[in-house]
Order: sequence, then structure tokens, then C-alpha cells
Amino acid sequence: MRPASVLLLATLLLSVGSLSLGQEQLSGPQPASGSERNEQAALGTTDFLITGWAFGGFESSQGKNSNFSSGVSPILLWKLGDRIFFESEVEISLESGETSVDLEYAHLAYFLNDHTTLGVGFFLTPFGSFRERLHPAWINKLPDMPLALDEESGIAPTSSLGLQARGAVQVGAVGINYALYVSNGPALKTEGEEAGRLDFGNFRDSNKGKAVGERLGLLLFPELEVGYSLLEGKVGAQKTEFRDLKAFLQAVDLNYVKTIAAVKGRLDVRVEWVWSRVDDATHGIIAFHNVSSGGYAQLAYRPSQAGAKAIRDLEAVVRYDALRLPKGAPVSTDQKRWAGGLGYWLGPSTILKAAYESLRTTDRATGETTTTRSFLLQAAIGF
Amino acid sequence: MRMVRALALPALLLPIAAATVPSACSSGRAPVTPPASASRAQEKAAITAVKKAGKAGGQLWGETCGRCHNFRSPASYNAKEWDVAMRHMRLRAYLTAEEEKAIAEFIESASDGESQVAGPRTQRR
Repeated sequence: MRPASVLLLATLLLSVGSLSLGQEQLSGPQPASGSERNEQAALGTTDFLITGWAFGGFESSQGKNSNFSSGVSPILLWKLGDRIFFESEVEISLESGETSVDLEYAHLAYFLNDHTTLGVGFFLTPFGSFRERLHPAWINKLPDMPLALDEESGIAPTSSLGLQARGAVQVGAVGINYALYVSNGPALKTEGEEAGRLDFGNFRDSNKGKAVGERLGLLLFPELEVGYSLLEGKVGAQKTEFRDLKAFLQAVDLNYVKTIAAVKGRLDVRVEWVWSRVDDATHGIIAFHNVSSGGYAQLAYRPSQAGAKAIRDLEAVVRYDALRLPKGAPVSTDQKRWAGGLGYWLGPSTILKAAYESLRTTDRATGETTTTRSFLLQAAIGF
Repeated sequence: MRMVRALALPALLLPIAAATVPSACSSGRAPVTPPASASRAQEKAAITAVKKAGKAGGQLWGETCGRCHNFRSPASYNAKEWDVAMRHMRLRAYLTAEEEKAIAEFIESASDGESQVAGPRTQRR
């Protein structure tokens, strides 16, 4: 483990130690009376819940075969007493004629005190806010993900294998939330069309260094949250000439949700932008200035206070997203996309969505530009 | 070392803030409007429940749940299931223990109101 990781872990443990002293323990076990103990014994102390989400979709893009898709993501939750909690999500989907089964997270949490939770295992990476909170199909306003945050094509981490500490405190009227983590970290791809990109589905650490990261969020007032995230770590494989290469990722995110009487509805504003930098290799296929960036800005409006029910249940959304890959990379593109969509809420967690998108892709090597238009439909449910 | 400092600073500041400003949680919150839902009846029931339950729990429910998604009817889970779901949400939405407790109590009181319409439900243990 690198000195930076050791220092972070020590800091993290010190933080946890100081938090556990002198705080009111709302989450801690309370002495039970005789009758309460009997009741607990009769009912058991392990609570279990299956929840999750599912979707079915259709996409028609210029120059491609139109395609249906489907997926289900059961979330398994166990509450083992007051302090221990396990959460896991499995994503099952049909892709390219095959059934794909992926573990999204399997995370064991220990609620140390009112403001700090420790976790170990495979967890949604606290990097930005989209991946942790907004990616489920019934929450995401459009049928697809922003380019930069997509699990396959994106430049931001999705899930991480390691340790984390997270929590929240209120300081006056400002809410502060935080997450610190140490993980195996991403791996640098050194072959093929994706050479130079980071593999965030790297479950076996490719080197002796651990990645460290954090997210700090500020709720300046209840409707507005701004966050800053970073991730740093070695990404080159240990027994290669790339072993000393490091990656440094940063992200900012903004979330604003408010029901405003003047517009008779709810405004939902989301912005997240990511910057990724990998040390330049001196030779080989990845010897280019390895800097990427991308993100999205999205505005949704639901006329939730309109008179007619059919209008109240509609939600309009417009999104701009972009992804800029390094010049000199095997795939060196600059993508910009506009999307407009309309959703109809059949229930609080059931939505029908339709969207139209225009993607402009520029090859940074040749300057050639192509535009692809797509039409997407999706039905999604949270259960 | 720049990286270490950047990481260590919030880790050090947050516990200090937590230790020196305990339980300031509910101050300064604005009145809440429940997030949008598909059912007018559910929305009305929720507004009534917010008023009955008092500000803290209902306010937090509107602010924290509505920050990411539409609010679900309190009747969508029974009391034990809500206990588990709220623990999941404490992680996902960065809630403090106090906020988790206040929202859980609000949901319980709101679902008591809804159960008069929806029929008998599993009782919170």
C-alpha cells in the first residue's frame, strides 16, 4: 500500500474514532426491557427486503438495426440488528442476444454512530451523484445514460471493491455529507481500440497501489446540493513498463429540485462533469496526452400542480451531454449530444418515456463529423 | 502530498464539526411541499399526513426522498419493510441517524392514516 493510502486510512480511522466519542447514539443498541426482549425473540432480529427496478426498451438509431432491450435489477437488503446492514444489487439484462448478469454492489455496512458508517465489499463508487443515486431506470429521466457516466463507454467509476466511510452532519442550516474510500481502483487498458482508457470493472488489483477517493457534498439549502469528488491511484499493471502510471479523476455535481408555485410544478436540475487524467506513457500505443472529460446538464419539469391529472403526470426533460476522448488515442472522438424527452408517470415509481436524441461525433484526428439521430422508448418500474 | 492533504482535510474537519455542533439538524428548514406523485388522492393524503405529523419528519421526507425520486406511498411497504428500506436510504441519501428516525416515524404515522382507507397492515413491532 502506498504512503498516500496509509495516510488516508489513518486519517479515516482517526475521524471515525473522534466521531464515536461524545456523540448522542441514536443508532446504537438500547437496553431492552424484558417484554421487549421477548417480543424481539418472537419476531426475530433479521429483517429482509427484496426491492429493485426493471425496464423494457426500444431504440432506433440511424445506420443501425433497431433493437428491443430489457433488464431487471433486484436489490437484496438485510438489516441484521441496529448496526449491521447488507445491501446487494444484481443487474440482469439482455444484451447482444445474450443474458448478462452483473453484480452492481454487495456491501456490508456497519453503522458506527449517528454520523459515520463503515463499509466493506463492493459498493457504488461515491464519485459524483448520478451513479450512486440517479442511474436506476425509474429515476433516470431519459431512457439512456449520459455518455461520460455510462458503465460501458464512460470515464467515471461505477462500483468499487474496497473499504469506505461515509456519513453526514448538519452544521447550522448547511448539511454536509462525505464519503472516503480505499479500493482496488481502475486498471489501464493498454491494448486494442480502448488502449489508454480506464477499466473500472477491475476486480483484481493490477498493481500494489490502492486507489483513494472521496466525495464531499454540501446542502447549502434543502433543495440544492453541490458536490466535489476525486479519485487517485496507480493504474498500470505491476509487471509492465506502465506500472508507475497514475490516474487522477475529479468531478463536480449539482442537484437542484424544487416545486415552485409560480410555474405550477417541479423543476429538477442535474449537472455533473468529470475530468480524467492519466500520466503520459513514454512509448507504445498509449503514448499520448491522456486527458478526457465529459458530463451532462439536464433540466426536467413536471407540472405537478396543474389542474388536469393527465398534465400533472407528464414530465418533460432536456439534456445536453458530452464526452471528449484524448487526441492521439486509438479512438479519439469528441461527442456532443442533445436529448429531449417526455415521460408519463403511471404511478410514483412507474414511468413511460420517449426521447429523441441527436449525437454529433467528431473524429479528433481527421476532423470528420457525423450526426446520428435516435428515437428511444422505455417503460421502467421501481418495486 | 497535495492529494493527501486534499483527502485528509475534509476527513479531519467533518468529525470536528460533528463533535462541536451536535444535533443542530432540524434548524433552518423551509416548509416543504410534497414531491409530485401520480395519484391526486395519494398526494392529498400525503399533505394531510405531513400536517398531522408535524414539520420535522414530513419535511425531511419531502426534502430527502424528493431530492432523487418521486415519493412512494407509505402504504407501499409494511412497517418492518420500511425499517429495512430506510436503512438502505440512510446509506444512499447520506442521512444521519436522527433524520432516518424522523422520516421512519413520519412514514409510520402517515401509513396509519392511509390504512384507514387501504385496510389492515402489518403492525410495526
